[in-house]
Amino acid sequence: MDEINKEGAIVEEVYTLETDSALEEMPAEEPSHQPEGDGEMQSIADNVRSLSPTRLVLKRFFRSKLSVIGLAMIIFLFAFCWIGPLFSPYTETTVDRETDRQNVVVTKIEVEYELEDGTIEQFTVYKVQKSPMEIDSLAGASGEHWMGTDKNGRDILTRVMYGGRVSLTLSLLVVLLETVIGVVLGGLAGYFGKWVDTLIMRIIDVFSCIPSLPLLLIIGSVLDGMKVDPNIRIYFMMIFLTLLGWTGVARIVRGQILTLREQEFMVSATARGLSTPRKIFRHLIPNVIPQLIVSMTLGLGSVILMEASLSYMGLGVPLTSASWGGMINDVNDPFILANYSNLWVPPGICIVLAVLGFNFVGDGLRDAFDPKAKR
Amino acid sequence: MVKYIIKRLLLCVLILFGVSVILYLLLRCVPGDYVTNKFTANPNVEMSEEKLEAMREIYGLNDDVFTGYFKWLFGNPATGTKGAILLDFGTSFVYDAPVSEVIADHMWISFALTLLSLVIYYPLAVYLGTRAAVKQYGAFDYATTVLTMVGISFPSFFFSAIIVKIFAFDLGWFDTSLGLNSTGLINPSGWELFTDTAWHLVLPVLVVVVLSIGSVMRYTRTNMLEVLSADYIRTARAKGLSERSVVYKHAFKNTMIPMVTVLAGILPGLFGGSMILEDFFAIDGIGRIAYNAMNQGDIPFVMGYNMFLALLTVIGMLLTDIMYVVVDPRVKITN
Repeated sequence: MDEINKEGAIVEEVYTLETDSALEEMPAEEPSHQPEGDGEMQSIADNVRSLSPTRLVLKRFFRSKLSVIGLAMIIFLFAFCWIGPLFSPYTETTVDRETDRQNVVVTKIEVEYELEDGTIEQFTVYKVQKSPMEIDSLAGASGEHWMGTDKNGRDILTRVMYGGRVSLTLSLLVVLLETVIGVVLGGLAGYFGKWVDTLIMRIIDVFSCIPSLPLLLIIGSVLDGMKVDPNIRIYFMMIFLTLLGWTGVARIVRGQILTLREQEFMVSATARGLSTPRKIFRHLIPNVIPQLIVSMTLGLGSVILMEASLSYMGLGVPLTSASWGGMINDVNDPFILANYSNLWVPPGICIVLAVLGFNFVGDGLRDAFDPKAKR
Repeated sequence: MVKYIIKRLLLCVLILFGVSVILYLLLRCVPGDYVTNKFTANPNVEMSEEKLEAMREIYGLNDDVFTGYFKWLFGNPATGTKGAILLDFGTSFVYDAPVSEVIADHMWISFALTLLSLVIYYPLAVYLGTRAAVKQYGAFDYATTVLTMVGISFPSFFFSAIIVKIFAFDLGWFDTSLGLNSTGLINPSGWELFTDTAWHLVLPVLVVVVLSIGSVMRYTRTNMLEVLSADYIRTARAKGLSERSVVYKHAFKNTMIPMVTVLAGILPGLFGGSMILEDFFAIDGIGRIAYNAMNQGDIPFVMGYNMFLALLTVIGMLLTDIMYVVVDPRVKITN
């Protein structure tokens, strides 16, 4: 019997070694905090089939079709935005000045001519003026410009790619920063309780009651007035977006830590005389990571939407460089809205794809992390 | 209960105070005040520096930040304002009327828009969410999940643009050039004006419905799933009740507990309006008015509007908590 058990243990060890090396970049779960499974792990059959928690989550994640579709959408967008421009002959600011299209101006001239017998005859003359176009603006889709060009003769497809770079990088940055601030403050509030908790919770209350869009508008005009370089203005906007957005993460972390710190493994950590930072960051935070990953993916979607709204209102990147929201801003001209769908539909679809992708992935992760889930 | 509410109300006051301090500090950082913007932009009017100073004095822009905030909060005897503490937010620079009056004038059209949408999307979302949860992982569940997720993924301006392009420009059903009124109306009677406005509200309402239905539907679905796995549902099934009765009587009532509290939280927010949507459809609601005011540095109005929004949020949070206690007999207030 002993031998069999040993064999089982070896099989398990080899197995975990393999899975661990395959999944190194995934956040490590602390197995010591999940002692429920230990009892069953003794039998051989279970040993061979048992999966690490990370493996289990991944398996459940990939079983859901929606999450796989979402992941595919995100991978496609990242490839599109970072690899795509390498194959494009234009950059986001290239103005296409070579065109054989011509401006056509038709003028209607009405002429009245008095005949010899006194009757008046009317003629209508159309004067057609053609002049060569200086820039290839508002062109339709063609082999040269797959999605046409905008008002200033810049290639739409290329601008969509570059715009995606800005939106995706900034959103990732904002969500990462939000999470860091949220984890630190939420962790402090949850762990120390008492007046620290009260103070941080009141700050969270105040921040979550500030209307975010009006505040960002105000900040936008403050930055304009301070003559901040338009190229770095978007980073300031992102900092303020972060300052307004960390409260959600902090609430999650605090709530989790409030329940976790009463559990046995924390008593043991205290008994072992671990330092407070070690207790918080090595023993409490890893247990919150599943919720954090979910809230980060779902948060990415909403930050992309917020960034798009800001760019749409002209508070984002400078007008010369592209951004998805800023490109849709052209619809404020009814002429373009009615006649040139190729200007604003592609960036809009990209925004929807990105947000939808992150939402699908976030949703899938939530279901996968949920220990109560049926499937 | 009363003690709890009083405690919460005091907390609300504290929160509002914090919000007002942050907002006022930021607003006063905006360079290029209203007076400079307005009077130096017009080349026909010669304004000497003294005159500008005098105008600034009238508009109360000469004080330093702290005096300014103090006067905003407690009133300024020189201009006769009673101060924000007595709900007097002063006179709007741009609209030249008391801030509260401007807000009250433009609030109702925003309210009508959001209330109409709420009446449509809320029951629909609850219905869809319940159906989806009952047949979890079924075709209906997948279809509604995907559709509602697509809905929440649209930026409002992009979806509005698509809707306007299709229904107003391509199909020609609506005339969106003048906001809520048609171009051809001359001396319309009250009824004509009403139907015309109602017709023009169709598109914005459609946008709000599609964009907001997703989150409520997801929330209903999650709650319903949780309730359906509860013990008393198993008991109900064991008693031999029909599936219909189990789902729509036993489970549904319990699902409605969080839904009602959420609704209570949404209600105050209905008055706040939406900047992007109202601006896009040229609706003279509170959001658009505030957007214009903000672009022109109208400090009293922007302060008033933002405090109004913060007040609505705070009331919403308070109502949510109170509703929990009222609706759910299991929730009790302890200390």
